[in-house]
Amino acid sequence: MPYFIPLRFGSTWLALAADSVAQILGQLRWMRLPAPPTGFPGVAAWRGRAMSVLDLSLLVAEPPLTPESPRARAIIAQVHGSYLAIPADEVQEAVPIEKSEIRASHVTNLQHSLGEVSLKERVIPILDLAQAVSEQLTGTRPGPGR
Amino acid sequence: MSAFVRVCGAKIAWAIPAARVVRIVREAPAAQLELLPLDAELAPATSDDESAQLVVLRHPDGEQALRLYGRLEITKAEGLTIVPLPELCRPTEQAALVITAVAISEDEVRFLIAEPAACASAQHVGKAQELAGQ
Repeated sequence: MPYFIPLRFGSTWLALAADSVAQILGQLRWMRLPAPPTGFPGVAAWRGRAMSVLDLSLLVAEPPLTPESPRARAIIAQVHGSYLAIPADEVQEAVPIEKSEIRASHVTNLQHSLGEVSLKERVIPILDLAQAVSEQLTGTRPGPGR
Repeated sequence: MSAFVRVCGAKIAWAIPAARVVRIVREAPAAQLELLPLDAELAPATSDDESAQLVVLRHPDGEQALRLYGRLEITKAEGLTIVPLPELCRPTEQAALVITAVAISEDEVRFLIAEPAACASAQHVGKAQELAGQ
């Protein structure tokens, strides 16, 4: 059964497939880049490698990340062979979710969503991280949704 | 020996590979060098007490210069790893001076490494590492 990790960014909850997550860290220090591409404002280091920082405000209507206001947690995820750092305000333990429990999005409106699921009395979208990153790589820039 | 010229006083910590620097001179009106424009976040804060310095850089077509205020430091890359800037965060806008690589310790980015755009194609990322002695 696949596992998913619920996370909160600002006031928005979403979930991420656990098999793409390499590690969950506490507060992550990262450095801003000059003229960064949309959604990837900076760079961080982890285990001796450099990683892009993904700003989830690219996908949800929340204030953007800044290095001066670090978030409490960070997820290190692997997508298309690259590692990404995803700062978040809260990360919960992985939960098993049957594929039959994932339904088409009705309540939520996240771009790059695999669908939505009921978790702990919330309906939250499941982020298709690979698709979100692919669109960035190919130059298609989504706007924020909810 | 891998070394960098660190530019102090900017919002972002950054440096130029020392091997890319031809000379550093006090700004002279007679200087006839092409000046590279600098992103605001890379520009050190100016001060009335300080005169600008010209950091003259070599690139394939000759020499270009950066006009910089503030302090410059020579930093060795001992204990640091120089890695290319990850593809996802490479800037989409064309700039005269671009970030090509990052100097990191195990879990911290120490400074960014910038080079003139003319030197900053994919093969020049390798050059940045080469210049850094890695």
